[in-house]
Amino acid sequence: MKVGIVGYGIYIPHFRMKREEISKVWGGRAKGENSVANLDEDVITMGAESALNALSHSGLQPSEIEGFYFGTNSSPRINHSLLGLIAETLDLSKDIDLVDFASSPRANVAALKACQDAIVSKRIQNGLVVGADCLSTLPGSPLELYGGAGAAGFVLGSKNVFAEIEGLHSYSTYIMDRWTTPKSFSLTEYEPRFTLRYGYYDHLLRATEGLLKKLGANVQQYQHVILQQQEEGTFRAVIKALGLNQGQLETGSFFSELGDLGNASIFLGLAKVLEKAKEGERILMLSYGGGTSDAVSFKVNESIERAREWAKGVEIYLRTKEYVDYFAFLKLQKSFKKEEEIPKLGLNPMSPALWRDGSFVRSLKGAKCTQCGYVNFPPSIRRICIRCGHTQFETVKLCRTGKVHTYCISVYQPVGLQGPTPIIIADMDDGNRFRALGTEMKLGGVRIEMPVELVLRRLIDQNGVGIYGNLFRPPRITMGN
Amino acid sequence: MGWNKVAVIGVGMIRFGELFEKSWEEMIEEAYLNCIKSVDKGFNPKDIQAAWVGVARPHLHGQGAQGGVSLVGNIGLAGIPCTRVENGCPTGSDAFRNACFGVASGVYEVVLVAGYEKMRDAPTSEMLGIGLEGHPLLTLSETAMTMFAPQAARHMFEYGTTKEHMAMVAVKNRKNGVLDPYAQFRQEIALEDVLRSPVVCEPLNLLDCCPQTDGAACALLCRADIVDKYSRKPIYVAGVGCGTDYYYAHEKTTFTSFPATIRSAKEAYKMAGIKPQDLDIAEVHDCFTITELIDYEDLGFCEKGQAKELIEKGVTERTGRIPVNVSGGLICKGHPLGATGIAQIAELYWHLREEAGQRQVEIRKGYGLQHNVGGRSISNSVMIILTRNKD
Repeated sequence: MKVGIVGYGIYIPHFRMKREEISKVWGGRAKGENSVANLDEDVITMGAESALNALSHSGLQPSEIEGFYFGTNSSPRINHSLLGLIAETLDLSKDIDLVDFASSPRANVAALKACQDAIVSKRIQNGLVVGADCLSTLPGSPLELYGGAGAAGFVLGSKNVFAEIEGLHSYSTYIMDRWTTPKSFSLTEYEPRFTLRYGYYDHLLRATEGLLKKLGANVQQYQHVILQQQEEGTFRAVIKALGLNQGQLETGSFFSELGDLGNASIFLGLAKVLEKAKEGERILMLSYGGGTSDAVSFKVNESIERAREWAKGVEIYLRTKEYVDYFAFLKLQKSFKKEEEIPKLGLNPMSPALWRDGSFVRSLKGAKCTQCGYVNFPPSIRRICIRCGHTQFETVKLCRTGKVHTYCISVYQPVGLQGPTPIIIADMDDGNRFRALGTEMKLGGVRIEMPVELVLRRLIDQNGVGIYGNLFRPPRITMGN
Repeated sequence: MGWNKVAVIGVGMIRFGELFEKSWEEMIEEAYLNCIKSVDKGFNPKDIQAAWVGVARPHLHGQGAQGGVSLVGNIGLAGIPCTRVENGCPTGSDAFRNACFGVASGVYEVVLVAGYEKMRDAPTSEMLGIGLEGHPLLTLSETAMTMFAPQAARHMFEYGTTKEHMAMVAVKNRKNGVLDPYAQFRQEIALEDVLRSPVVCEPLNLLDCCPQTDGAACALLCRADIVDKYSRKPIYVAGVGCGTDYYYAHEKTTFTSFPATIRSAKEAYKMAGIKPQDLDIAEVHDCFTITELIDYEDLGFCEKGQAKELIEKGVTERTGRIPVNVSGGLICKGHPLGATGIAQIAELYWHLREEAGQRQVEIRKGYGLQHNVGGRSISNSVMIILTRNKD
């Protein structure tokens, strides 16, 4: 059975930080830029968007996904999984396995392997694999120069595969290279030259050798090679040792544009390659993290041409961006916080009300009145049609795109929210109306009839617990429905 | 012709403002004493058989769930029935409306209605905290500003209303307030002042908004057939109306009018048997300048979309065809939520009795209108029509 990729999707935040801006403050020299997550984003919101894109790209129904495997190093929670939140946003079946992989920037490959194994063993037919990270470092730390944020996901299956997994090899030892502690949440490393030599370099080489031996292949047979990149230049020795050329690396690299994306890194590289790869080409993907490296070999088949037609463009996410200055960057990294009281929400984030209504709101399900056709929302609070009083409904999926009907820009926001913030009431493309706050909008540019799309974001935090819901943003790439 | 089953025999209020030096109890006491004193033929508080009190955001002064005793327990009337009313911005006027029903039903002969709000014992951020109430997934950041400003944006888009038109409302009401001893602000402002004031919630500037205010107001009502016992110049309740609209913003059908107002107006006009043209004065809800413009259209003072012409032509000036917000309105007099509606009724009472001093408007047909709109998604409205005509 040929198991491989049947859909892919990525997410890159809107904001970018120029590395030279960081150097200006703390010294050193660096070129290029990093992606920076917005305050209302985390691996859950980014993972959800990439997963929606991947699912939509696969053409599969949410109910056809039988396993969800997620790799991240920056979960906003310890001792509690937030995967259910992504699953309900995607409207996945509740009778499936949701599995978290963590503790390393190669948790994504661990997730991929688990999904592949489940398909090979015929336990499931299709699975979703997502890698996401949001690297947080201390101001002035050398790692601050390269920390980025993003997510990428794949739907794996055995039907309509366009990139088959040919083989996989892992090499693991114990080495103390980079880590975070539960208290600091900031990435720390010991001595970069030591860890580069005996961590990154050694492991990548051994994993690659192992894989090539298994497959009886050599690196020259690979048109595309994707490397986990953590710092500028660290991979040069590996390239040399493996005898790779620039042409093989070009398509899958983005380090100078986005930085180190941790668990999203090689997945995003792979998605980028798949946008360009041709039938018969082979792809070598190399992970590294915390003393483990995985080498994965893919072979692209004729279905790739068809898959490209409905691909959710990696290029669009790369192109649409806005630069922030160092102060804004610190704020986004939560290293520079406003001293304020804890917001007093009318409903606690843990309230049963949010549990009752949350999945309907996030998966955008409505109750369409079978008598008058009005779509009541959310269904959990509407047992009687508000327009006609009828009590029978059919469940419908609401559309994520629409146009601004009216708006305001609120300068003074309650504690816990930041002004100025657009508040949008939009006429959605399916004829429904929706109200939500706006994000990533140019304040002077909000206009009636301007197109907008609904995305999952963290609306507000109370005592470190976030409420996830919908916000409007200018259309970037339309999330799959 | 009108309903006229209930008469107003006295009103009283205090000067609205940022009353750091006064407790909520003191405000109620002062308004109540002014009210008792205002009854022509003298009044014995023992005649009060029941009371209603309106307060919309009592938790701002730590009195979240205290009930009706918060009125009668402070003015020497503990023991009589008292009901506390909350209905968004129409809280005071709805307390009045319910008190009217208490009298019109024949259960009580004389009742007291009071409204108050102590908004300044809490910091401004507490008031903004309303944006965190309700349902975080559906109403996050829904404050008065963020509910009304989108109405302004859409009204501007559909009808060509401009920020200048809105500013004209503020200029008119501030000018009116100079003559009102009860108003929080008593200084004229220029159009440029409004347009140059800081944006608080685009497209609304600071001077497009009413302030946060402490205040209290009272009225005494009695059965119309016994009014001669108390009053030489009785004022009657010709009609009352109340309307609602959908609860959440995404459920609303329009952002250029307030359907709740249209419904309350229809009910009240019908009860009073009058048309908008019969009004000599109107005290309408102007929490923001745009609100007053939309009110003109919803209350039938002009056709839909024509409010800008009404304000441009000065029709609603104190000396115009329909004087609107001669008291200064909420924008100038202040908007202590629970007190607002009853203070508007007091203003009508004074004008209809021709006791409004320098700001007195000409009374021709003898009718005055009071109106509020607000609450979640601007979905509650109350309207009261008073008249000096016995039949």
